[in-house]
Amino acid sequence: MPTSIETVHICTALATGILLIPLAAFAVILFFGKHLDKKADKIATMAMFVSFCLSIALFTMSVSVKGVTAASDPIVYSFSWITLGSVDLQMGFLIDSLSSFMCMVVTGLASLVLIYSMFYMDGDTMYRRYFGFMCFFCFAMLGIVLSNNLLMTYVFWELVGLGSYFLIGFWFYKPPVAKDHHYQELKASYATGIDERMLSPAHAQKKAFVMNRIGDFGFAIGIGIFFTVMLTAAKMPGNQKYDWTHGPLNFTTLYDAVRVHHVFDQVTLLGMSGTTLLTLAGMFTFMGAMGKSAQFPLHTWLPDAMQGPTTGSSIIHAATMVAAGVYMTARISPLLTNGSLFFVAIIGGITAFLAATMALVQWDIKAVLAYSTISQLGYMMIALGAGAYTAGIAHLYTHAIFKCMLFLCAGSVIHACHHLQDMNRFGGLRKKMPITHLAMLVGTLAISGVPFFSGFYSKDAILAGSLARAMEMGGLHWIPFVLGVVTAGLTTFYMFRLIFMTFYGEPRDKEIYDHAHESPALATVPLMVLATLCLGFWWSGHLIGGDIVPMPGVSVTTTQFEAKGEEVEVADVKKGWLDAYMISPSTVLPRTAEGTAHPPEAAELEEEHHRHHKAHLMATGLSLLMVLLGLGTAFLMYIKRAVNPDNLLKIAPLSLAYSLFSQLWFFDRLYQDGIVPAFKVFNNACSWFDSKVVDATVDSTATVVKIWSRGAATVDNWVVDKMVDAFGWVTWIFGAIARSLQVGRIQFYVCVTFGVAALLLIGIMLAFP
Amino acid sequence: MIANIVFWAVALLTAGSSIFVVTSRNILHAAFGLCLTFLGVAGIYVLLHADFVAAVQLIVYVGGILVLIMFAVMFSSNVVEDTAEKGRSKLAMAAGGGAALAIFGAIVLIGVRLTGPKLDGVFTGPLATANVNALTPFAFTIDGTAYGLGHYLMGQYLLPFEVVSVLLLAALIGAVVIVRKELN
Amino acid sequence: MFEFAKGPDGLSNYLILAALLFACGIFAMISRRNAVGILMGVELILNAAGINFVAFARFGHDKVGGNQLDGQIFTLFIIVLAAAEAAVALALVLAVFQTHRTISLDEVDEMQM
Repeated sequence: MPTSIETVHICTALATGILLIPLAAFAVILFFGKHLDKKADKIATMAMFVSFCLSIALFTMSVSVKGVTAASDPIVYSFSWITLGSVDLQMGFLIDSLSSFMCMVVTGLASLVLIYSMFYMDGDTMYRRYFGFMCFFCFAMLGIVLSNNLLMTYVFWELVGLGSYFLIGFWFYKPPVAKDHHYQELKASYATGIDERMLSPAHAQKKAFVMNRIGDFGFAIGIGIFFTVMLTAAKMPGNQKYDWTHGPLNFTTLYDAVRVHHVFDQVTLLGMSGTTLLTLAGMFTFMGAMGKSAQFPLHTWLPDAMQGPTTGSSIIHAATMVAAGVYMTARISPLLTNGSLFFVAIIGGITAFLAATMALVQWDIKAVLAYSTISQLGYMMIALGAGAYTAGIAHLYTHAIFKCMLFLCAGSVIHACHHLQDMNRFGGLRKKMPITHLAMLVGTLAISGVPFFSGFYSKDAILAGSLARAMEMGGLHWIPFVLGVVTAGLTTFYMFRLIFMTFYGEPRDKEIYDHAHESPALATVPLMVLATLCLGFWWSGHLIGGDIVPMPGVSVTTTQFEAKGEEVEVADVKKGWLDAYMISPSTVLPRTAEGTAHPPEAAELEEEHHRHHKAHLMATGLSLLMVLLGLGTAFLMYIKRAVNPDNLLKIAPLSLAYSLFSQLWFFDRLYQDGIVPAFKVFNNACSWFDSKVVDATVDSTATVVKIWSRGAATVDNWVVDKMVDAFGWVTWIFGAIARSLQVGRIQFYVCVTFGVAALLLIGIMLAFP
Repeated sequence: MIANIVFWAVALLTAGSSIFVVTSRNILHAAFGLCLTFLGVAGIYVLLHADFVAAVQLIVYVGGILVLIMFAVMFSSNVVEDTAEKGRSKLAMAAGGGAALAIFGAIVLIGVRLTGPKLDGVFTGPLATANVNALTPFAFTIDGTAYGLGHYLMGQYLLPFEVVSVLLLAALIGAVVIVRKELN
Repeated sequence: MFEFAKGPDGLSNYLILAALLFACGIFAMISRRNAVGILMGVELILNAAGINFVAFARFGHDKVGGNQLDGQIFTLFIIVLAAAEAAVALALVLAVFQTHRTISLDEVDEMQM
């Protein structure tokens, strides 16, 4: 369905506002911060809220304009940014349900977090700077969300990295934790494998930045491959008519070129072409997401990022930083081949499982949530890798909301307990902090995937998508699904462990319990709003659609699959908000053996639909089973005390697993003691080569030049200089003579002039009579 | 005959007063002498049938420039004490006299040269196909030269005329700028 | 060799007179110390030139071509230029006087080495 030009203009204006208002707030706080002082929080919150309102307008606008049935073009606005000869790199907005909904999530959550921050950050010496950084961070994230091309995404991608650097190292002046006597007291109860000597905000921010650079390196290579292929293809005779030189990295252009015109089959790069090259490009691009979304093996920065303010962690984990990777993967999803999809899925599965096991053994309330975030991001990747994009994105949104809330709850608990984060000293807090307790319980139920909470729908959809994929492809594709199911149980277990240890049972530390108190309204109101959103039955179903989940409200029963101009009607498939605007996985898949998409036949769609139906039922059953299993185990261990966790450690395999988990699978050790020293050896070798070989060469060259120069200097001093001096002397002598005539009296000059003239005339007259 | 007498009288007045101008020790006296010289030159112009130029000479030189000079003399020196120059140096006098004599001689020589040697009672120089004194004066018109000059100034010489007007304006502004006292 | 005319109808009389004025002007320019005196010399030179122009216009117009009023027009321009020159020069004199309290060029010698 074509979109009217007015709509495009309105949507573009809205998107511009959404993007620039937080930036304006950041600029105002940056430049007028001293005058504003405490008022900076109001400005930031107001700006974010205005941006949120515009996001709602944008979302409703696109829904009302597009209609939920249309799987048609998204709204695109782009303008030239850099022109390189005939190539035109563009910037602009790509507005579809994915981006407009994401805008709502980012700005909405940021508004709530900022309100909460007025309470949480109160009294901090860098109070207003925090709000400025938050605005900048959200601006960068919104740039990624609204971007219409890979290059602009990359630009804002790096800005997000900068924003996270600001926030993680917000308390940069804090010394490493190892120097903290408070920490030393509690050291025994800590069970992290992070190199604690290094654990300071300044180090954490560096670590996050460096780990992200590794991923971004791959991202840059991926963009480079796409760029090269597009430009090479654009010059080919048959492709002149497609106008690929204008915005070759635009998503819509890329989709069109890769999926319809098969540019990768036409171009050979480094001896590769077709599916191989496309798979490689997809994998490299996905590396960026691995860094940003803390996927195995680049996940180690995220737990350290807990060094920042809890509210900052909350926004990093929910809506901005880590969401960027998933979001970007969803954006490039139409470009992923089966190979790269499998890569995404397997990375996601491993991440989900590893992080969940790490979360099992943490004692720090924030650390549990941090590993939980990594695990859930792995979930989203499983979904994306299974081609269930809507499920992955839906989980991104639901997870954003409940993880944001869980962090705010954790912040509330930490604040109430005098900045203690050790769950061993909590317990029974539900009487002291009823609202926080309730919110956290809702969040836990949501993340566990209990029915009628938001996480249930998205999580089930993920598992269903993954199962359908496994059933279709077989073999190794079962791995992500199995890991996902296991992780579902682990998730439930560690989350309820957190809840039980914090809010139930007897207070372990009487003093802390006595001083604990509920946070003020500034904190609890955002929690209540978020808790309401976690009761997902009234909205999260709309995201995904499908005919299994019963959902009230807007849903439609028919849709169109459009590929190569053919339209296939499929009856009785309910489509959600996301389905309507995203390029459906069905049009990407299945691919033929050559990796080219072909339009789905009606029968195939029917079969796929059937398979999904079956998968959904199975996945729901399995996931509910795992939830019950995890909940039961946690209940037995931490409420009933039927099983003492300490006793379990006496069993050798479990003890081994425990030390493995608590040492974080030795990833940090490997990086810190393996890769970093290896690099240091390499660096030393380079340094030796530089100082002994390169420098020596340069030095000897310099010596030769020096000797030559000495000779030249001698010639210069004794020959050239004397010649020059001689010229100078001659000039000086003439000058002295001439100067003696310059007496400075005009009469003298007049006299000489006329005297000479007269004498000349007389002379001529006499000489030539 | 009367014309001869008038001519010689005017010529002697002009020559004498100009010599007085340059030899007078008192600058104010020199200025008065200059007045006489200007008047004499105007008379010469009349004798040369250049009535309009003579009038302009009177108006501009005597009426304008001379007044300006007097003004400068009054303004820049104490008339009673400073105007008498404290003796020009002998060297300057000698140099000036020498140069002046040399110039005068040179001009006379040129005049001789232009008229050329006299062969058989006829001068043969480029300026004198006949006797230099026999050059034909232009016809005297009773209307004077004002009409003709105006005609040429507004016609053939229009561009120089305009240029000179611009130059006058520039000189005027320049003079004002130079003597203007700084406001601060 | 050279003959004076008897009266106003001879070119050479005027040329001699103009040469005399010119020489006087030169003398004044060289020998005077007073800036105003030097200016007077300049005026004498200009007058000499004017006399020459008018005299040649009167007697020599048919020998050198051109019309009989050309010389007079040149003289008019000379008078105008003289007026402009006098205005500027006297302004300079006044400016010098304001700064040095004298117009004797011997004493105004900052520019001299």
